[in-house]
Amino acid sequence: MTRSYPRAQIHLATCQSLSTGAQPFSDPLCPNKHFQGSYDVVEMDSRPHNLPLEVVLQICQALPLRSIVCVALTSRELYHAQALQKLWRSRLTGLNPKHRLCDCPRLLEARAFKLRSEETEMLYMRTDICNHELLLTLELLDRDLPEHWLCDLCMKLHKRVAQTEDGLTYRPCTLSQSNGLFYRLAPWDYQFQFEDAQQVMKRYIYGAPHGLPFEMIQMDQKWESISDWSPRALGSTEPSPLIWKKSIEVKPEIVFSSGPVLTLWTKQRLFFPSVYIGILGLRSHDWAREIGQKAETHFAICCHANDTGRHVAALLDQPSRLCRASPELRRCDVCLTEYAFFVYQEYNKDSVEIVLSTWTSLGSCKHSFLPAWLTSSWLTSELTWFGERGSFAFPKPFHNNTSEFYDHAAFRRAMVLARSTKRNPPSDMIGRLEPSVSKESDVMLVQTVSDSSDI
Amino acid sequence: MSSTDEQKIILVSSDGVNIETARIIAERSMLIKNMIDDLGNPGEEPIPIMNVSEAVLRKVLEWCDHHKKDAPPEKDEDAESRKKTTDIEEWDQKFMQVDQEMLFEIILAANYMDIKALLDVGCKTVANMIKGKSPEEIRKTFNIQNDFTPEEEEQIRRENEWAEDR
Repeated sequence: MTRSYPRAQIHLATCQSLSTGAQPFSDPLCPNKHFQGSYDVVEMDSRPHNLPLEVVLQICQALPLRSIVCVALTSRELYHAQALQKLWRSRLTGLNPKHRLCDCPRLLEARAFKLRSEETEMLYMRTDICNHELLLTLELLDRDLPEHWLCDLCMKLHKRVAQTEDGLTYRPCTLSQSNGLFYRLAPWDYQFQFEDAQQVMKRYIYGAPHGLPFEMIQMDQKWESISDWSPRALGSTEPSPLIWKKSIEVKPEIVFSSGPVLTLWTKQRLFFPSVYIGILGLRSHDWAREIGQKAETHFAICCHANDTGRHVAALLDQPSRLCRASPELRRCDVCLTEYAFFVYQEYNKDSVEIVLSTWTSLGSCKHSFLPAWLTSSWLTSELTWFGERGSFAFPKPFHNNTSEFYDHAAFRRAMVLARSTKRNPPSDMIGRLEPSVSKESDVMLVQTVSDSSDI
Repeated sequence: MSSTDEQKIILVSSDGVNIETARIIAERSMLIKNMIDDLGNPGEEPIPIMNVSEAVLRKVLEWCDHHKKDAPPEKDEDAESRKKTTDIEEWDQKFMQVDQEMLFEIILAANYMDIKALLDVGCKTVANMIKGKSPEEIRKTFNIQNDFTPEEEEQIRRENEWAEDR
């Protein structure tokens, strides 16, 4: 069987069919006469199975623009083929925004983005991304480029440059830096940028050397001692025994809900030794409220919910507090965070350990404008925009500290949909919370702390 | 007319095998139809199909047989109005479930024999294989050699403003 057709014969066949009036290939953009001259210049081994260019062009007729670009980028010959360039180059750049949107009807586009319905809502709020097709094209190119990452704010691929011990890292886009799109748990000094989350997901989906490892956004801060009362203020030169401790563990996990979803699971702990509770009890008639206030200052649920103090104080006030407090799963009204408090108190000791467990869904982290990410992140400047669907007016800046942001109709719809499809925290979430420090002896604890403390 | 349709003709594949088929089936190919019209006396002389091997020719004729009752292609079909979808009829989908080499042979044969509808189905099948793939994935699927140097690739990204210019 012959694997390929001699060039001249194909040429002949085309001419013959032309002469008989039947056109095997009728593309007005690329009339056949165009190819006749180019046959002798082309290399045969640079097209799929040596298909003649006219057939490649016909295949492209059934492809979306982004895939035509990908075909053109497979080899030098196809990239420089004028007939193929006509199909993609001018359409991808330098067209008016209306045109670009029309290229991609709404439903087709949502499917192309592989977005869930709530994410589609948000896509249409970012009318500044008028060229969605370009974003989709860059997304495909990004898959071949482990050393690059894609920024949907400036719509460009950025090269990762700096070398770290973990391997390559990237240089954040100046635009997104000034946008301050980052996730933050302020009291714990824990934060990462959108790019980090995006890159962690990229590695998860495409494997190394793409993206960044999970460890980038993982955090395991062991017990840290904190002293409220300075020993000098108490007139003592001895290290103060009045010390309490805190620790945090942040673990990213992938959950499946119509595609991989990045979920941050945090375990935040405060431990108050019995000596501390004893002295606090002497100084204040409402020590539970004081502990609650401490919890409020040092715990971070998300950037919205802020009812820590009340709940912790209520748990401490319960008569059954000597036993393990029964946890109640609460959720933030705004973002996709669920959380629960636990109080542990040993029978024969008065030490108290308070645990906050949070479970935040950050969504697919594919684009910075997706609802799960936008609501759970902090935005420090007013450079991200929302527009009205179907309008080509320049979108308005928004800030997620303003009610205008949360009141936006598209945003509300997106969040309702996001909630309805969100997976619940895993059932073992509560089982994972075992008290750790409170099992140690108080005296031992205080000694260990004072040894290392120079307060 | 029906007598003309049932008329038998003989095609000769590139590897010299005679294949008998009905004229109505063979005339799905504009190449054969024009040849018959030009030659006259259909059925008397075997028609050589120079560029198509026996296996491929039989496969192509199988397709023509299934589609012999389809409306003939309109000559003035407007390419703009051609549906830009990759929907393929179920029978055609099954027909195209062949190894890649055969698929491309069929496409080349359809192109050579000028069977527009078959060429269309073949192109759509390939388009479905390309959709959603990155350039490197397309290269791997179709065994295309990457003849760009890394510098050229970077240059392309820069000239198209896909990557930041620094």
